[in-house]
Amino acid sequence: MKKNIIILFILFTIKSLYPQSSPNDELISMANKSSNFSSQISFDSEINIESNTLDNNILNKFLFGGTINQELKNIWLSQFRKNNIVNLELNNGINFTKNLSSGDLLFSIYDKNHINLNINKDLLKLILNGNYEYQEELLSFNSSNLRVTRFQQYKIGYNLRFKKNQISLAISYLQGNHNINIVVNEGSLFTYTNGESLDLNYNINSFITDTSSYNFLNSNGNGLAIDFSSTINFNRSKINFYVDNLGYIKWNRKSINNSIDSTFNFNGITINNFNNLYDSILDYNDSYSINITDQNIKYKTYITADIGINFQQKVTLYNIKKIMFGINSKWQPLLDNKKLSFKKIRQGIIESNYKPKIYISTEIPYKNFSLLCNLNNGGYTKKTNLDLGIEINRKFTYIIGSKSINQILKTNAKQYFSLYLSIIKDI
Amino acid sequence: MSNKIFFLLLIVIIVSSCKKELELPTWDVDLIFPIANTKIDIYNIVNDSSITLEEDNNSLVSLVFEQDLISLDIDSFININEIVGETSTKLDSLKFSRIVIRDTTTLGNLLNDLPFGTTLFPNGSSTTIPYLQSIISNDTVIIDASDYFETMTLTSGDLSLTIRNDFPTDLSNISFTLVNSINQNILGTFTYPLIPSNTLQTQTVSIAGQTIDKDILAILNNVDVNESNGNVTIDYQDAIKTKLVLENIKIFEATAYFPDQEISQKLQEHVFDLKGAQIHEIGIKEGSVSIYAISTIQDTGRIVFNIPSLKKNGIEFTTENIVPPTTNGQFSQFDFNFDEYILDLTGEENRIGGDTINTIYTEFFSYIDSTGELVTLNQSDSFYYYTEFNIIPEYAKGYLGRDTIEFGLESIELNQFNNILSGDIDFESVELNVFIENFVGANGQLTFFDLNSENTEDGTIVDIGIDENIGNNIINNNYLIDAATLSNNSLPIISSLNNIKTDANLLLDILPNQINYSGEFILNNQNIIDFNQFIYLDNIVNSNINIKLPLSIIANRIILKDTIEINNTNNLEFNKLYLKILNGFPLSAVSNLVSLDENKILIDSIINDYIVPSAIIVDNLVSQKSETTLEISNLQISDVSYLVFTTELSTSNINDFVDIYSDYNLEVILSGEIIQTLGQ
Repeated sequence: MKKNIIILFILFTIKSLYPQSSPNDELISMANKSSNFSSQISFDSEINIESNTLDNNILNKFLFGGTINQELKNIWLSQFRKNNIVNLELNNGINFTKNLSSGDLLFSIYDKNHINLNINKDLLKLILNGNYEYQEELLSFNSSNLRVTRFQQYKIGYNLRFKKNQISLAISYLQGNHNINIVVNEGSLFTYTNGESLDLNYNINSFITDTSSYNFLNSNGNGLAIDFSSTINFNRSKINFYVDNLGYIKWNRKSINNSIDSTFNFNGITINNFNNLYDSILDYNDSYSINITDQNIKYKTYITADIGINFQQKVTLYNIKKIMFGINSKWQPLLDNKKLSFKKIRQGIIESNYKPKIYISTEIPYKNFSLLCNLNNGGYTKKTNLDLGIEINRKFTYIIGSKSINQILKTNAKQYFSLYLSIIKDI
Repeated sequence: MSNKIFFLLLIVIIVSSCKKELELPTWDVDLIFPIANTKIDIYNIVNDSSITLEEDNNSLVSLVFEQDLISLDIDSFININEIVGETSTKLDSLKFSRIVIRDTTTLGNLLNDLPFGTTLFPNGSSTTIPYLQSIISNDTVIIDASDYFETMTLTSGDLSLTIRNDFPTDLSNISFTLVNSINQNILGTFTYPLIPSNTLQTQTVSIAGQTIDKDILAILNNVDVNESNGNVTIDYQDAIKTKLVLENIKIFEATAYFPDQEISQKLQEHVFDLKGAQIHEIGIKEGSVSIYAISTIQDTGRIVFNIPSLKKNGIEFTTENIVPPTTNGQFSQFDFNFDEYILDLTGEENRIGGDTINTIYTEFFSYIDSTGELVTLNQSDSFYYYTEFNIIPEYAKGYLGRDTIEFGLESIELNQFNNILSGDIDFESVELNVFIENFVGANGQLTFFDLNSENTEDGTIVDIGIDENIGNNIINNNYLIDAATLSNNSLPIISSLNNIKTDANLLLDILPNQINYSGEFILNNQNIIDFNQFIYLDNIVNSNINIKLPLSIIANRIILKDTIEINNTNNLEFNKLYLKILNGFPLSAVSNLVSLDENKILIDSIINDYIVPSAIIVDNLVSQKSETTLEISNLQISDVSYLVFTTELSTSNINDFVDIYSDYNLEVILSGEIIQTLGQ
């Protein structure tokens, strides 16, 4: 039943990326704007599950159970990288665009769910194998992190058209529902021969918003985001630069911050009172009790911003009318721990766990439909993927596709699962 | 549109038909971690409260075993548990107050009763009074004694009548009779031939055996008035006064208003039997005196009990208690706590013949208190009491007497060698001391009839041998114990100390499990009476045995065995255990460990003849620890209830002693590997 709910949710929930948030969205946007309309309403839905190392076999194991034997563990461990990223996005929303004489006025409402996990290979080794195999070896868990965010985005924007060029601006109010933010700043385990001693070092910081209610309308934070894009047209080409969803959410004081920071050498129970072993155990408990700092705190997190540039050229090649090249990057620092600077821009790009994606895309129109193709390399998978969508123009316009059609067609070891659907109506 | 719905439904059906339940995966993780560690030095090894460790200047450790040896009980002879002063007071000893009843007959009253009396003899006139025969005859007056009693039957008593003649002329032929109004018994008849003017006369009669009621008839049988000597002044206030006195009363039975009065008093000395001791002072540790009293008198009784020789903070003990009439013969009990009192046993202060011993002086007074009501008392009514002393002394002073206290045959258990199954252990020296500390202020004599070590497993017994201090055999030697002294006749006690010293190597060679002893202690063995002796019962004679073993030893395959009961409450099953041992002792060990089930049936042999080498020794000192790691595989402890550990210890050379120093230690690190299945 649970699975059915998930499948139905994927199929029927509505999601849309903001038109420029990923390469193919640009084409979708272009395709939509090619028709003349006074107003347009669209219904968008998308799910993306992608990883640079973890594939559907691993995911299936963790979803549907079964025994993970040593052979499987060895296979998995061989494919794990130093940092193993899993990213899940589940977004749905409604756009409304009003065509005005000098530009387009945009309204949109989205529900966005984002899970981003970066788990260190050594931590996976420890989880899968335990520490026996790693005696006299330092297992480092640095830079592992988990971010889970759900929020609603209410956006208003304007696309100002000039004679040849366009400038788009938008501002969003973000209603934060829930957030979990766990960052392993430092973490390591060293196991001495025969487990005589363990050196354990950890510095973990976690922020969790109020867990008393997971209601859709429950607000635990508020934030703002801005969008900016600029398009310069040449004769048969144009260049577009964009920054989308650059914003933050401030979570309220009901949030709990746990901080664990300790370095110690664990030698088991030190028996120093032979008359009363219980006293030794008490001393042991006192010595190794974990000191967790627990406090209610306000904090700020950033949502995932897209920054990119692309170049579009009109061509005449068979049915292909235009080709676009571009690069898209994401920016999302783990914590708001530095003032805005180039260092912080770099930090946000690295900590987004997203490799800048280079892509080439095109639209191939046919009589009753168009194919939307995008070949790209990078992103959370850090691999080359083919994004393929189909646009069907009827009474409504339907766009359905996947950003990882090549992965979907693979029989196994799929590291990227994606589906998107748009239903558009010109008014 | 219908196609779209069909398409979606088809997808749903396809997906539903392939559905799998969400479950957690399971996988094994192989964990290894430290379990426990310890650093064991000689202080940890000698985990025995009966053994203390001493170090010399070079940190050479000696084991010191110390145990109380003799416990003498010589306090019982000065405990005082006696009943004294049984006394009964009967009603015949009761007193009743003297009763006086007065009456007056004036001349005016008398002339009023005569025809023309006041006319012939007006008040204030001067006239001659003629002879008047039988001027009063058979005149009856009721005397009311109800203020004193209702009725009294007397065993003795006197009734006296005094008549005073204040008339201006003489009276003659006076006859007076007192009659009990109820039974008309004549209590007494009084005859006065002549009572001259302004004189009085008294007559007394015994009323023993008489019953007197509250209303007494006084009958004036006759009074003649003699002729006056010439003219006399007639004064109507002149009178004949009568005084009836009831005295010296002893009551057989009475219903009367009894006055407050002392019934009895007992001032007496009580001598306690202290079994030959002659004690002049006792400090009471715990003590009580109980007075048991019973009163059949239907009036409130009261007792006052004083012990002038019993003082606390200089204040004598005195008490006063009400004794109600008994109900069904029950005694009234009055308890007094004498804790921390000091009891002077020299008798009454300033007693005739001077101070004595073992004697206390008490004062007992009994009373009845008037209730203001009529109370009927009978001669058979009584007041009975006795006093019970229960005194546990804190100390006693005085001659303690000659007393022989025997002790034993008793045994002290030695379990220090219990874990040694076999082998030879040789100590370079063993010093045994028996310390006898006398806190009694009297000389004594201690003699051991037995003092030996015994291994009851093989029946071997070794006697203690020669006292190195005096060169005599300790057994049957009479050790004279000097008296302790006080500091200026008060605490603290300066004890006397005697010491018996011997080499106990032979005693311990047999790996004994008990020490046996018997003997006697004679207090005041020289029988010299000295009243300055004392005994404080918290500290009498402390005697202990002290065995000191410097740990300079030769061990040859000493096999130790220990059984550990285990309770594996968590379900951890260790795949492997690692025991790392860093041996810093100059002893090697060969160890075995077996597991037993709850019926002590062998399950598995976990460790087989595992050798832990001795530390490396240079010049009889440990220069480097030996290091070994024992790996134990396939350990199944889920059914194990007992672990039996045996180890065989040996010094590296069975001819040379090795020394054990306090900084020697054995480091043990226990770690384990478990394979844990996650996701279950």
